[in-house]
Amino acid sequence: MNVLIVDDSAAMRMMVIKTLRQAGLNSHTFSQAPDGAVALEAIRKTPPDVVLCDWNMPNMTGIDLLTALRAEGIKIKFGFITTETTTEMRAKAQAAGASFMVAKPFTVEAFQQALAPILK
Amino acid sequence: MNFLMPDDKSTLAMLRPLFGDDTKISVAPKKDAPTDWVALFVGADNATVAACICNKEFVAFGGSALMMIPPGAAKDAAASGNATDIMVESFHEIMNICSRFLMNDDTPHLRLGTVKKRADTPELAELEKSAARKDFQVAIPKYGAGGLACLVT
Repeated sequence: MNVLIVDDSAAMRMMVIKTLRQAGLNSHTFSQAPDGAVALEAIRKTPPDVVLCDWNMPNMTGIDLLTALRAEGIKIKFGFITTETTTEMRAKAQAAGASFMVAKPFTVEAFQQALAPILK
Repeated sequence: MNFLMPDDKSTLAMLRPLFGDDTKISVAPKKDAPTDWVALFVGADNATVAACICNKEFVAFGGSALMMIPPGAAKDAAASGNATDIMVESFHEIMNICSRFLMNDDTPHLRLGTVKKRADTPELAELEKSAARKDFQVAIPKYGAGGLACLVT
């Protein structure tokens, strides 16, 4: 499985990859993008199986990326890894087509739980 | 207060996943108040509504712990006050995560605005007049202890 991690923090992208490996995703391929605009270009060229995306980023936010992908008919699995975890934001993410939301700071268990339905 | 003031338990819950299970938090005396770096949080109208003030030790140790930078380099940065760009970027992400613990479904929304040195943050003075404040000492495993103060309106 190819996993694209989108976050403007290099530290956070590294933490996500480390935690995914701890969650048992050792055999998967990870790629990275620093914002939604770069991710959109990368996804158009080579769609990953899953996108794990921050919400607040420069150039293009996570929700704008998801909206753009759906508008272009790109139906890849998409989850948020974010501090934006209020009920309102969760509803907004779900309405836009997100499969799950993992709150920062996250745990190995949070990723295992969120990704279990996708890995089936 | 419109926003949430973290206590030692919620601060620990926030920082343990980042720094490790052996992270320790204590309420710090005011005489050790941090003064070096400031994260400003803004509301929907972009007005400053909360802040975290951190000392150079917290920035160096916390930023290094997140990126797994060797403790020796972190200690040098803490002593000199010259955190590297990577340490500061990691500190920025720590402050981003802090935003989650200042709000919930019952508070207005806020987000991290800027992270700057205190000397470059004149707007903090206005916030300090009206905000409630709590000071913490954070012991980061393998690195050292740093100061973190939360100011919340």
